[in-house]
Amino acid sequence: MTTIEISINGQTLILAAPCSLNQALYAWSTTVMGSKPDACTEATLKSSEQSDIKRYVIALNQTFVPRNHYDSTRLTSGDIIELLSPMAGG
Amino acid sequence: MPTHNKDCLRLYDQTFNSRLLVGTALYPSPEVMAQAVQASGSEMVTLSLRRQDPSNKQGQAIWEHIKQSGCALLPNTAGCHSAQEAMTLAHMSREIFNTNFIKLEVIGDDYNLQPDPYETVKAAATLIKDGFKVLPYCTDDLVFCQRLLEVGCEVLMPWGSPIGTGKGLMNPYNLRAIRDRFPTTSLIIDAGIGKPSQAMEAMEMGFDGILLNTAIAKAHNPILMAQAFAQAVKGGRQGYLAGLMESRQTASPSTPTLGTPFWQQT
Repeated sequence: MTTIEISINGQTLILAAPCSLNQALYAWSTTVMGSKPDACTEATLKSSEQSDIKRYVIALNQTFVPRNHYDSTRLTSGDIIELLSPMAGG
Repeated sequence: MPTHNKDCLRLYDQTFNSRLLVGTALYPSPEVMAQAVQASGSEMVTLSLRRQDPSNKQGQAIWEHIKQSGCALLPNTAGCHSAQEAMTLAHMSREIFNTNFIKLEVIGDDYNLQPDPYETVKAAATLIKDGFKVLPYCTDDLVFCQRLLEVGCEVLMPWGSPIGTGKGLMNPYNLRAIRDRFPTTSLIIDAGIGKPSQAMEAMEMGFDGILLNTAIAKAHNPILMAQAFAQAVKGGRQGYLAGLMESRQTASPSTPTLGTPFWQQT
């Protein structure tokens, strides 16, 4: 089985290839975080398409990835993903 | 005063009744933050994007309170050190917050959090072309401000002093020069305001608004301090509109001298 090694928010993940961004997010939410945060479950990933205020947003290798590209974006080894959500700010 | 009722803060194609913009960080709790924002009367608040951490329940609570406040959102690019980082974060912010407003912040030095003029201008130019309404955090450097206007910024946010210092208006000469040089540009003092009197001073100088966070959030009573800043900003603005008297070197009696009583008639 071919695998790829990626990073999500500084956490390393080894995943089976080929792997979409959506699949990586789901794997991250279930394995690295040890839970299924509702922002990252498959159900929420789909339902969030209808939400006017999204709960997280993604950059891949320091490039913004629009939400509607999560399924079509294929990851390769060494990819660095930043998964961000709203926070207080000044 | 009808004139004052129509006196609004203009940020690109939008107008706001309040000239005070507040940050949402550093408060003792999300609840206090929400009450302070309400007390400030602000209609626009700043916020940020940070790594998703589902265990951080307070972060989610803050976001819920911000949404409920009904305020316009001004996401920032805090923590970015290059134009590329800031542009990526701006695009991410636009998607999640559904706004073209962005507080562009590109730090050039971590000691005083001074913005990098070259990277800020570079990012501003691209973001304006991408349809953003850029509110750039800048210094009181006249040429830096000029370059930002040249690439299409309609609002500038020069610092009063470095972020979080509370030192107020460190360089009034430079700030006055910016105000005089760009009389029709919306100018907001962003960063360094520590006291209501400092906010009032800036407003009396003719600045269009104040953006602050720490001075309210770190007060012993943030809600009361938010009210104090709201009044200071309003008072300073009214003073500016009313027209301040020129300062004089010599004393001049305010009571009429005509008809002065007997003890002056020697």
